[in-house]
Amino acid sequence: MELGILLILGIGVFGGILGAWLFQKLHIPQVIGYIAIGLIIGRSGLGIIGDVQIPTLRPFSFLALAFIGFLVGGELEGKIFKQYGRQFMGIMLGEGLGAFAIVGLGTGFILWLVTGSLPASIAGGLVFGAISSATDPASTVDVLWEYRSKGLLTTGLISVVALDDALALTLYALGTSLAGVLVGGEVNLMELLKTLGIELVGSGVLGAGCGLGLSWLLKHSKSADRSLTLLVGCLLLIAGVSLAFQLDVILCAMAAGATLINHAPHRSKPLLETLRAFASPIYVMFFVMVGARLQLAAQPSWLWGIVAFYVVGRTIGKYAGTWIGAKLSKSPPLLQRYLGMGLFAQGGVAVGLSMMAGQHLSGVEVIGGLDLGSVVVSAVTATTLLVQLIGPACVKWAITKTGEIGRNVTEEDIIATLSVSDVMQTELTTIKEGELLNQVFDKFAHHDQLSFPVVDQQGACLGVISIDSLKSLFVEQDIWGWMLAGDVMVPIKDIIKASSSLADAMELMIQMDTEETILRDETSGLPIGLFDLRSAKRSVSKRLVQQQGV
Amino acid sequence: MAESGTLLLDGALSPQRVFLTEASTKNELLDLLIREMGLCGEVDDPQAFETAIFTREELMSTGIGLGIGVPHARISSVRRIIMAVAVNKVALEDYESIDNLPVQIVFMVAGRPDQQSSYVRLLAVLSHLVKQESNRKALLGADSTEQLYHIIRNAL
Repeated sequence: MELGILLILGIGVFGGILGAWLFQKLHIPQVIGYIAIGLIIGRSGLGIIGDVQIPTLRPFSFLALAFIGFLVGGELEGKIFKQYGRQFMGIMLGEGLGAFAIVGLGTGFILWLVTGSLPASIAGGLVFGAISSATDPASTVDVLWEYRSKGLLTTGLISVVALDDALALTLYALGTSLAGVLVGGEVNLMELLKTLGIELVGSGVLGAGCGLGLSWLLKHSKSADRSLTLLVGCLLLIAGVSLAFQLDVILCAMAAGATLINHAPHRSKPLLETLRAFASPIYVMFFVMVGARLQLAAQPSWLWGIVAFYVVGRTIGKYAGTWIGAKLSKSPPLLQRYLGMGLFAQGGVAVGLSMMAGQHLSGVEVIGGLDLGSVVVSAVTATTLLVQLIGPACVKWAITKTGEIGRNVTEEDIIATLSVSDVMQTELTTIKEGELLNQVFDKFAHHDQLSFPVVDQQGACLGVISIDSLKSLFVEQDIWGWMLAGDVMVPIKDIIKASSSLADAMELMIQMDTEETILRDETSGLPIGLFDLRSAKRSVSKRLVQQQGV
Repeated sequence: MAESGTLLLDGALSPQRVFLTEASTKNELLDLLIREMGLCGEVDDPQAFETAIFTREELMSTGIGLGIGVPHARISSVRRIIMAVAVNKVALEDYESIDNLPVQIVFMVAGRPDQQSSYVRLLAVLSHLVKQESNRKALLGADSTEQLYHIIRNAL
């Protein structure tokens, strides 16, 4: 039975979520779980997503790249670049060129040992080096989002992974043209540079234009639903137009996201949050597809040598290059020490470039009927699998070491984790129903409590006297000497319970136009706490500040 | 915004709930007023109202001094704030006022639990009214319930 595309998508998303859940239990980033499930159900495993389905699902991957690119672009606020632009640029050049140099030299040397052909070895080294300079923004950013990371390292990582795709494309264009010249192909350097220029500039211009257009449309959008629809429509157009004109989908979407966040920051921030939630199943499927696409067939042993050197050399090149780039650009020590650890992931751009190399270099025979194009495709596929398993874990390690995990939280996130019992005041002074108003005022004067439960002889709560309800009694001093607490108390409504979620309770209080309420035990009627909206908000803010590490 | 004293009193008092009584004990007078309040159609559960009035008296007597009693209660079976007034022929010695003086003028007030603000305001208005000796004398000197009603209305 052939599985329909919708069923495959369903299996992919559910399988991915299951994988993520299992890996999260092991404290491993969820993205590795998605890829692992992809491996199991893909070409190298059960074959549920095989050679037939992969081309069919390719447009889906491009759409996912557009979503990812847009969200990554949405993180690139101009003010950060004004402050750290030079440093991020220095680090990006350092890590990209570092990987390019070490991987290029090492793989070229191995190819020379195997083939004895200097031109083919240099050509292979250039292409491997160029591909190795790319960092996968998708899985890197996924880890940052999963662990709600925030801080200088997080900003640095997002900026560098967003920028280094352009460097990888440039190095690839130069490398492939040089390789073509070296192995006698028909590659025209000027033609390639022109194509590259069109690709980079075209992606930037199209993306910026879409970002501005979107900003204008959002200004006139009346509802959040309409805004999300406009945004998704825009991303579909970006993906479609980029593919039609052979532009880079991710760069184009990134430019659109960056333009929007800098042109209309207040309008776009909530929308980006909504898109992030909306895009979740699309991400899952994208990474499952990454795993499913990888093909681990039997390869000659020297190719495994290339794979091993590529992974080790790229890791060293990225880390050392980052360190050098950060030192030279006078980056803060935190970036010098840890940013390189977050740049090991390799994904869509590298795989895409290897596919292009597979076509460009298919005519260059290396050894025993194996062409250079196939060598590049096989090696990059294997290295992608390895670094995708290592890379996200290293990102997590880096943000853990710098203490940036869990800092990207909002008040809503904190509220969602709390119940009323977490924020209510439990040490309460009570007022007996028979106490005179004189005594009641005295208690308010001597206790830092905004509301008092009024209790009967057995201690059961009958009602509440709040500072607000006392206001009307300030001027009626005639009655203070003979009116009792029980005469002026307000009955308790018992709508909010200690176990109620804080979000629900706060919403109810606002609806009821009440600032505080006393909670009582459902069976004994004894007062158990005071839930005060102002104190609850203060408690949430305190927790937020603690969590953000401000 | 709190209602003015006149408006509150107008809404709460009617000529049919003003009495010249001849009770000999506090409980007898309170029972009489409770019964009359129960007949006016604004108290759905007179029994609950009676319990509430006497429970409040158990906590502390509502004899507020100067010969005045203000028994009162808020319960959910009362539809709106209402009151009754009685001037007893003799001062009741067993009222246990805060100044130990016998009580001759009684204002009974009933309201709903959620009417805290208006309820307190009405009690304060009554307290202010009877603090003036001329008002107390006028009330004690009234010959008919009509005259009594007009004295209260005109005092505000």
